Amino acid sequence: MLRFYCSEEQSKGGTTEGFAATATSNGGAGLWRWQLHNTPPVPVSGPLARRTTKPELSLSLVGRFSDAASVRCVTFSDSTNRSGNLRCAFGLATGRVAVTAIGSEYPNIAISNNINTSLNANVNTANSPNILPVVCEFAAPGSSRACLALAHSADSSLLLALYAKVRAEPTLLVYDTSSTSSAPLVQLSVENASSIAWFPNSHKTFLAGVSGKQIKIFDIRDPSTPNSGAAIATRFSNGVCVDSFDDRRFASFGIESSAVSIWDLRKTNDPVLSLDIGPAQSKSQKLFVGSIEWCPIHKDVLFAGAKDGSCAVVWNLYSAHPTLPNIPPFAPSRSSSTNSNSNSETASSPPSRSQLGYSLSVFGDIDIGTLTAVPVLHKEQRITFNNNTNIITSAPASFAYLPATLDLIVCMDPENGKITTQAVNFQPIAKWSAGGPDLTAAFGRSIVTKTFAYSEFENSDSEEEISNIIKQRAIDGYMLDILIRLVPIYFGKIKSNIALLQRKKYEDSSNLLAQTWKFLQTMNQTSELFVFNGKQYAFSGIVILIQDALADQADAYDSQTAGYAVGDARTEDYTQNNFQTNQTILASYFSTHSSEFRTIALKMCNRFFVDDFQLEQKLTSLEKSGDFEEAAGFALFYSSSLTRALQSLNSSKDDKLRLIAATISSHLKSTISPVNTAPDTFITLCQDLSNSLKSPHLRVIFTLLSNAGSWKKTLLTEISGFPIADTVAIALRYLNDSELLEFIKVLKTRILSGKSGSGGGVENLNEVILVCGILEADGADALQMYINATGDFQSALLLGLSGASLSANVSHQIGAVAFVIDERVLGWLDMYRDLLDQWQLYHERANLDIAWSKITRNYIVNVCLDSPPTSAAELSRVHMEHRQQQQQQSQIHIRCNFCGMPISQSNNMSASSFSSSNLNPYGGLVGSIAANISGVTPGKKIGNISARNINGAGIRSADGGAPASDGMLSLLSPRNSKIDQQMRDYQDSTVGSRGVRHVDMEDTLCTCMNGFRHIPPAQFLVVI
Amino acid sequence: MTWVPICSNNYLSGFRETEMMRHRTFVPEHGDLVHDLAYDYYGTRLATCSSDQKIKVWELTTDGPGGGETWTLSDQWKAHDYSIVGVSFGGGGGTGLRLLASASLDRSVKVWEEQDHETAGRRWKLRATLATASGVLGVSFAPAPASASASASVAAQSPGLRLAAAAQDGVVRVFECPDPAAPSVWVLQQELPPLVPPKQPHALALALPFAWCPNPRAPSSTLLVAASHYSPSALPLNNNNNNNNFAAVVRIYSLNQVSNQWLPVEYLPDTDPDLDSSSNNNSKSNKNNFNTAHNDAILDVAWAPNMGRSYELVATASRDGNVRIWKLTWSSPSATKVSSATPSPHNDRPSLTVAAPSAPAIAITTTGKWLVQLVACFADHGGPVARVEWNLIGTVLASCGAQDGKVRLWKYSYADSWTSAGILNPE
Repeated sequence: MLRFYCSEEQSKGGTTEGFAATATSNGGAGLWRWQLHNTPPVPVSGPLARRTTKPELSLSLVGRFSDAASVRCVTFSDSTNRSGNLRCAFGLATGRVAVTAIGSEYPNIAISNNINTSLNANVNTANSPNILPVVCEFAAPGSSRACLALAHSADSSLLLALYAKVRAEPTLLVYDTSSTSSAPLVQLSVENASSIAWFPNSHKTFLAGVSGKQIKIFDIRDPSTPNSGAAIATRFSNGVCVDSFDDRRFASFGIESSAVSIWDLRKTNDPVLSLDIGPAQSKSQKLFVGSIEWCPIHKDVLFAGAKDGSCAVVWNLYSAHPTLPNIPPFAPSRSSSTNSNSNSETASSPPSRSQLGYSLSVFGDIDIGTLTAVPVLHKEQRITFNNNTNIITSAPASFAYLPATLDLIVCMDPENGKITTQAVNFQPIAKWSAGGPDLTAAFGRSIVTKTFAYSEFENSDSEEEISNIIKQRAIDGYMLDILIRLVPIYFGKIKSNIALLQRKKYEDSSNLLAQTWKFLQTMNQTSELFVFNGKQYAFSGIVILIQDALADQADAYDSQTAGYAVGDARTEDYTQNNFQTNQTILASYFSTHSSEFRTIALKMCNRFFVDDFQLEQKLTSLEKSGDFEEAAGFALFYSSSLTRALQSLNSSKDDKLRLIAATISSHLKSTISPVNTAPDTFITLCQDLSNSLKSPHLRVIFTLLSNAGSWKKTLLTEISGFPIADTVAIALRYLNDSELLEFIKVLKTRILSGKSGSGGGVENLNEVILVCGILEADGADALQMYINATGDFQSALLLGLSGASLSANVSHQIGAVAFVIDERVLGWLDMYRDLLDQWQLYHERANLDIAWSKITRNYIVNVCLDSPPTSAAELSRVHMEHRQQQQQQSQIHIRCNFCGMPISQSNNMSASSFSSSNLNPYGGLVGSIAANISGVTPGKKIGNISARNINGAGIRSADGGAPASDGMLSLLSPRNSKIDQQMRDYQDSTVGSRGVRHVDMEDTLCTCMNGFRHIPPAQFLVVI
Repeated sequence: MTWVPICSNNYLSGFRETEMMRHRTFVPEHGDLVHDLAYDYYGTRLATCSSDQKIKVWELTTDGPGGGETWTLSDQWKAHDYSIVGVSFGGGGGTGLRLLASASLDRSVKVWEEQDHETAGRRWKLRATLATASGVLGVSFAPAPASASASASVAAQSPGLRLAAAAQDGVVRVFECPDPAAPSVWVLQQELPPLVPPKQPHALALALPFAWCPNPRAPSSTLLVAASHYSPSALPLNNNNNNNNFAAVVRIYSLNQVSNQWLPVEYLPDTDPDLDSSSNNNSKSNKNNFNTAHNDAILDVAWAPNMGRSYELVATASRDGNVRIWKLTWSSPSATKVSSATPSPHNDRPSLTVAAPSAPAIAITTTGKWLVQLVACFADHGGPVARVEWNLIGTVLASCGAQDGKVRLWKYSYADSWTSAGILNPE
């Protein structure tokens, strides 16, 4: 028998404590003090501090009950009495009921504050020197019979005792604990009563379960004529217990049954809900309910313990109200009519709602409390105890519910008193914060917030979450900083992104990103190299270049070996070479193609070598750095010289490489035409090597040899790790026009499939951009692939915008009009702006807007005025975008001519409400009077919506320091249509120009509250 | 593409655990269990609700010990006549509205608006009470429409404010506020009925999950996810007498701009669940062994915010113990077929096709279709999974286990895989 007592949660410093009474069949009975530590006593500190605490229950013995051996039942009085003493009643097999007490009046029992008893020990009271004082005693008159159950009424004045049936003696006795008499107040005879429970709110009624038959309700308000009220016929009559939150609800279970019934006093025909503790773990044994109890502190929580102590089940119930057959008729909402005078006319019901057959209003006059709520099982949690379930005991295992910050179920073995605890897991409810990497979860009644803040960690194994990286990068100034030569202030700022990515290693791929930015920078700086047919291809990608070139003039540029003789020249340089014959054959076999666009594309790949000298320099540098395989590849790919390739391999210290070189050279010696008539064994060897070698360059070489020297077949073989630039360069050198066109499309598809290892993927973003460009659909596809792989839409967006801007800029230099940007990139821009707003990174958002508008403005201004548009549709589209953007970002301020303060356009044009706190750090734009004219369409009446928006914006600017509305300005309500019109006129007249203008406002008369004088007129300050 | 099933109990293995990672606990001192909580648009406020019939609104302040952030009570009030089981913040962002909706078992949804100034000690004022036929299990405001600059490319019409509420009668109701300036007027736009009505109309104990699609730029206009439970016995195809006596699907609704009606356009899983369960039994050899069907009730759904991905993600939490992540790829008819190289979990399915129950007979005026793939399935909770929740940019999923009482995090990482990103424990 185990009973826990906890009055009001006595929590201090994360510890909950109370008293517990135990009675075991062999260990005696005693009173304990328990403590539950929810948090570690000493906070653990340090970077890797982990909270490993499980709530820990500890018990210390207060005293033992002197007549221990025969205790059958224990109960606490539900409240400490006035003197602060705690009473605990023990019912004995002899029929004696002894009430013990501890507290200030009983100083002979010292209640130690040091609880050091480990819970693992069994509850053994035998060693205690303290004997609990018995303050009063009751004994059932008549025959001696065991007291089976005890229950204190809610006010502890009455003690109900249930006795075993002996002859015709009464079984239910009610004692008055306040009286000195030990005679029972009420005596009732109920056959086979097995359980008792008081109704907590009506002091003198109680329930008694009659074993296997019924549950009876007794009313003893008049002790002389106890009224045995209604009886509920049910076999689920054991363990009756009343819900302390709802006096009308109680629960019971049946003998040798796994079912639990919940009853409602108002509807006693059937249980309102039946629950089941479910099947046992082992199929041989059935699981029976041993005890049930309502959770003392949580509404609608009931738990049941298995008789064998193997598990407990906690049920969370919902109360569901039955669907009303008749929906209450629609009535105007009381709330809406009372709270909002401006909406009183709209609050009346639109008639269309009745068509839905549904009421949308408040519950007319239906009082929800009068409806009978039906409990519904909401959640069920099974808690398994690792008790030895082999013990077959007559007495059921005892369970108790310990409420704390983390609730516990305590189980005691009735035989040996062994106590085990298990935490009740509340179903957590987790929500992410929009503002940061905070995850907040509610567990029961406590709420835990965990912040996953960005942290720069050296040599950390784990990857940082991308959202943290994005936010941190935004804070650190990762932005749209591009190299626009027309705007000197932005010149070279692309370096800041590169520097940032190199300085702060956000993730493993930071360096790769920096390389991508460097690539953009390089392309921009060398853009004049990539002009073909009057079009700039620096950011368009090689695919577009090849397609354009071959579409315009098919095969016109295709001239074998003409004007491009790096490899040929090499043949002469090495005339003294032993492999001269073979060399010549090879050189002529690997015939190269050359044309202007191929040269340009090779330059884009950074694989263009003017002459052998330049190539030799590259090869030497590669050899110096130990990249012999790569040098060999370069030698073969860009000079068609196997000889030079073998030389590179031979110069390596690696025996393996030299062996490979020897193999090839001996093979080449023995055959005249090495690649055409190679024996099968050689081809097989080459195939094996191409699959097993690590170096991608060597693998390409052997793939080539195994493919009988066909570059086309070689290129179509995907070789992981082989740079895309080399792949493209080889294609440019060795494929004819039609093959090249075909191959470049295959390559594009391969890259955009996003499979890493095949040349595409995240690790080669700059090479993907090299092939696909960054401007049009292909470029957006490339960026899209990057996002899909990494989630880093921030980098993709900034790269996309930068690429488009840089391209527009360099195109403009050669007189072309092209501002090409994919719609998706603009979509990411919107998302990113929203996200920065949500993170309240207004400064960063504003910087982005400024940078972007400067780019587009420069482009428009220059292109529109300087050069005639070549594509009218394109230009108009860009122009419209520009105009739209500019309208969003134009700001108009009204400020007082007298004091210079911005003027609130409130009803009375008062300037007094303005203080410096309203001014925003970005130039005093905000919180006061900036007007978003583009949001106000001419002729449209300004209604409640905008008025409300203004209020909202104003509030945010006051506490957030910046507006959340579009652009860098907040809204105002232009209630004065004249001012409104004037603003609109100025707005229109200033499109396309920059700077700050001061415009006098006509026909307005303002009062400056600072100077207390009338001043005509107010002044516009137009910032564009 | 490889989706790695995770079996990691590492304590926060993914996130770097440093001093930076603060772990704060506070007790909101509700009189009973906290049933729901909600962040506002900026993440600076938190609303909690409880069986004690109170709503509490907390503000993040930095006056905690050591300058740390703490939640400070901003307002609290008794809001309903019965347990409050759901709260949701509305407005925020560019809308300038500060609304709060609460769902209670007292059969009503209440809409509250914050006042600039306290009146009678209260900042939040009741604006509307929306009655439903039975207790409300959850409420959620539709996400704010895209910002003005984007709205040009999306539908021109402004949808006003919307909120959805799921009730114990199995119906998800969509309410609309035509004029956001007057948040006291709400119109029932539509009732989304259950696939199979619950037997006891008042006694839907399970959650009736639904979620708004948070992406205003998602194709085929605004979308809503709602899960429906039904047992196969209610279906004509009932040949499985195994333990799969319960199956559930998620329906995706799309707002038809012409009729202004929400119509189901797709199902998760996208075929009949009976077929799925049978195919699962037949394909034990399947290496991934993704349980593509929900073998038990769906307890929560969450649509991931999409920051630039070309596909959408939806997570489901099921009572069968699994967290599932579904990938939805929008394919317009003109677009090329999705590469067949990606292994689809549907490959092993028999080619028998059965129309999903109560499939939409009305043609949807959309020009594309969702391709549904199950991409991840985690059974780590070892028991019913009660909630799923995506982070702000849809890269981390938090799942709440009802049995183990833990919050587990799943992170999207490189190479198209999801990995365990940590566990949040109550202490």
